[in-house]
Amino acid sequence: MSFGLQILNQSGELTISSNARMLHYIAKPILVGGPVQVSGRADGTRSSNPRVAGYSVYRLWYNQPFIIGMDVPVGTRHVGVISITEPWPGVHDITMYCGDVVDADGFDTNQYPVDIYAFGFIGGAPSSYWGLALYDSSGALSADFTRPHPLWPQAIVDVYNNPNRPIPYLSRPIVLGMPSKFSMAHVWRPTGMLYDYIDQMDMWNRPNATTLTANSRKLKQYQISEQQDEEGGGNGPSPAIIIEGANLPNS
Amino acid sequence: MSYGLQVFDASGSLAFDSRTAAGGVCLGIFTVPASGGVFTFPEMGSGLQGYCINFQGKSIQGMQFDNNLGYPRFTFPNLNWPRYVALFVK
Repeated sequence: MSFGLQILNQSGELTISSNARMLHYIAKPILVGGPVQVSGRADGTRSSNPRVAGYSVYRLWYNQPFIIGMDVPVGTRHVGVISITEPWPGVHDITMYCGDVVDADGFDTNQYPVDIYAFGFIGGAPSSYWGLALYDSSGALSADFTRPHPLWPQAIVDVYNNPNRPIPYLSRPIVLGMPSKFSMAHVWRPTGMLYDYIDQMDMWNRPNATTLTANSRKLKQYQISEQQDEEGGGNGPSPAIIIEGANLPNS
Repeated sequence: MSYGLQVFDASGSLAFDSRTAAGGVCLGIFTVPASGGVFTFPEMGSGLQGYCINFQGKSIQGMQFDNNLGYPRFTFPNLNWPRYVALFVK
């Protein structure tokens, strides 16, 4: 590197680089309708009425790349991103999970709204003539501290084979990233000579203020007479960034 | 030691503190082609560790990171379909 700015923390990790691209809070996706609660029957056949976990959908209008940060409240709730779709260019629907109170089939029966935040890049010119702005070696704006809510990562955790990770004490931790583990499997059930098809995904949980962990939550289950394709695993490194969310906007 | 950079917002709240920042910096959000791809960052220099998260927030299985060129290199295998990834180094 010929010139530029890099600042390391006391552990020797990079915290600022003029050749990186600083993420900023962009917008708060808006809840569409209300949470949808669990429905269907786990002992039903696929075509009729599978048991499907609850969820809620949030909409974001934004035509640049972004990543999602989510609130993970202390307690029994499990939180995660189920999927993101782009029904129209620049319109993103983020399907979130935030549930607790498990039923006999292993599904969470209470689904709640959850605060999520989109983070992306600031382009163009700095917003004011005072403050700190950094440019990369090609002359593009790479960090603009003149705008509010730069991403300030306070920790990075990885729950892969390593649950219950300590996180710093924060007023309202927001997590960017998801556990990578999921599975879609058929489980043989001798009674009735059927398979249970079970689709599940790991979600975040914060059992106390300074612990982040992940547990499997069921998304879908039904019975089927023949075993079909399975997609397992996805179990691997799961880096997640923790930030303080206390000062993020509510709208 | 107390060296570092603190940034305060207009209301006087601490908005960034390099002394407590952890987890590294983002290099950008990129689209990995369906057939895989390689992303390099010569200006970042050596000695960094890389990681990535995709659109949904998950890491990409099979992503390999190295500094063999003297700077960060992320190599993605054939992923079957294109996807967004945010690349980080720390």
